[in-house]
Amino acid sequence: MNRASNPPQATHEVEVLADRVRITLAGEFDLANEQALTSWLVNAIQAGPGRAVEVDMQDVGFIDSSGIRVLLQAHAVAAQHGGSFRLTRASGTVREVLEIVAVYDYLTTGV
Amino acid sequence: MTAPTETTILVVDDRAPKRYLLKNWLTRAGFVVTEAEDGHEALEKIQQRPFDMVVLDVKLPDMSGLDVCRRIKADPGTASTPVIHVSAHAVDAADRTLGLVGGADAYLVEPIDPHELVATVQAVLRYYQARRKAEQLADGLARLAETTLAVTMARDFTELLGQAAAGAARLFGAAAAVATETLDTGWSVALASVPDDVTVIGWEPPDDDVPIGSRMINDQAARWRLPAGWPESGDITVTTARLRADRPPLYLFTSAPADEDQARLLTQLTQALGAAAEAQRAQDQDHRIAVTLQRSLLPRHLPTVPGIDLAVRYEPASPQAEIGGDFYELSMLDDQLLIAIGDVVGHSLHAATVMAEIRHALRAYAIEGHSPGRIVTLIDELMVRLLPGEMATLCLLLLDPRTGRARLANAGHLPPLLIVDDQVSEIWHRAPLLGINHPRTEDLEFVIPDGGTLLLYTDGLIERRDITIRDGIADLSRVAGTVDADLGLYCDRLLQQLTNPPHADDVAVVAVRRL
Repeated sequence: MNRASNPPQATHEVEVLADRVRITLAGEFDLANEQALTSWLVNAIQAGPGRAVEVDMQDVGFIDSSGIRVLLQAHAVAAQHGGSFRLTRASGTVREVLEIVAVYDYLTTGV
Repeated sequence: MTAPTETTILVVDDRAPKRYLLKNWLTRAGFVVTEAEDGHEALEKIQQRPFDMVVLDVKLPDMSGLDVCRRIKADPGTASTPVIHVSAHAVDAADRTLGLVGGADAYLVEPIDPHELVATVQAVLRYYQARRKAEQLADGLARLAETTLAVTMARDFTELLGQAAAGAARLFGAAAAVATETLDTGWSVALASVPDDVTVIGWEPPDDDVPIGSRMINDQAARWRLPAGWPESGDITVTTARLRADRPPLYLFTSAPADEDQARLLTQLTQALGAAAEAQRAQDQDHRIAVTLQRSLLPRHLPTVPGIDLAVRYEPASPQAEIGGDFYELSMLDDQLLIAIGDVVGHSLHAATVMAEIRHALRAYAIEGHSPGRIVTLIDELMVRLLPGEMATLCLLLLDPRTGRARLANAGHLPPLLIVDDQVSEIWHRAPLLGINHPRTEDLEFVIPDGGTLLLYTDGLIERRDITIRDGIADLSRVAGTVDADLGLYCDRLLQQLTNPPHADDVAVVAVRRL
């Protein structure tokens, strides 16, 4: 139990469009809200099965390895549902950390 | 904790003979009486010191007794002082009602019977004492709840004991001390001479057996060897809580409780503190087990390699954070030195066990003679099949100690630094982290020249939320450029300059120098 730190602030919004589902994330993502992020993404994928899922990362200020793991798992879940999954507008520290673990291309090309 | 004292009554009447009579009756009934001649004198006296009651003539020369009563009841400092009106005049029900509506607690009309006066005073006092007791108890219970919350939220034993002593001092309005055995520092006592002045130091308990459950005893203070600052007075109340025979007790030291209610509060507080200490002990124990396990999963000895100087540091995350999954490996395989560092995603005992599986797998594949890239690919496949959902970063290289030729495969890990003649370069080799089985690039080949140092590290060394990873690597490069003669000191210095305990994350550092 980590009583010393407060959970980071994070929010999400889901839009189900005709050809895709767009989920807009904002805030900071780490171990403390890993489960929330997992359920947001999985629910968004299930909201439009088979549709392309786009995750707008513009307002995400920080993501750690736990958050990246959730993105990679969501990528796999989307593939199982027959849809694609890609991140858009990742920049700054978020893009940097995705590049260091070398999954930026993998997560942004929507394969 | 004050002992019950005399009951004081302020008698207010402008007629001396009447005051004499009232004083005489009340004094004989055991009360201590102070006199005032008019309203202003009465209000002045009640401001100077508290009274347990005011017996107030309704008709005073300077102001109405009803107004004096209203003022007493309007001032928060005196509002809880009971007031009995006495009236010399024939009054009707309406007048008496006015007095009572104004806040008086009783209304007596002359001729006053001495027995009725004393009985009325005692009845009103009884009611007020019961009310005060109820208020004190409610206040005590509220503070008990506050203290329980504060000790439950404490991050370590020092804070827990400090909050406990401060809370007890606040609760009983006197010095208090709390002692128990902690996992890391042994027996400690926190002394609060006043709530805001707490000291925590080592302490030695007496040999006496402490029973399971709770117990309250009175004893001589000297026998308990409390730290300097404990009031010199001879007696002390020692309340203990012990949850199980194999668990150390918790001691609460106070002065004697004033009444039954305080004694009950004392017992309740001690039980709550004992439970909080037990929870803290269990948490510390869990963390110690986890750290011990994690350390047992890391290499126990560094290999001795001719021509190579090696140093390793591993700092676990603080007890307030979960342990992480950082790992490293250094071993000689035939004529090659295997060097690896990695980090399993997540923080928990589980992450540490995944780390152990990856480390053993990489040793096994390395022994088979595979290249770094092939070893990484094989571990990746193994993880996808046998550890689905787990992810890790890993940087692995094989070094020929004689020539300095190195072959490196990275899987999403931070770039090692190569330091040659105070010049730092980052060794980038981009390939995805382990766990997603994604195609890899070719291995990277480079040479560590004579006197060159290779530094590998995990994100705990450079990651802070207020800076980017690039800036973190730049900060590391600045302090890592000068390599100390003693490689162990070099690692210590990097940790000291770049991290601030308590560590939110674990940190691993591996330094390899060619002589």
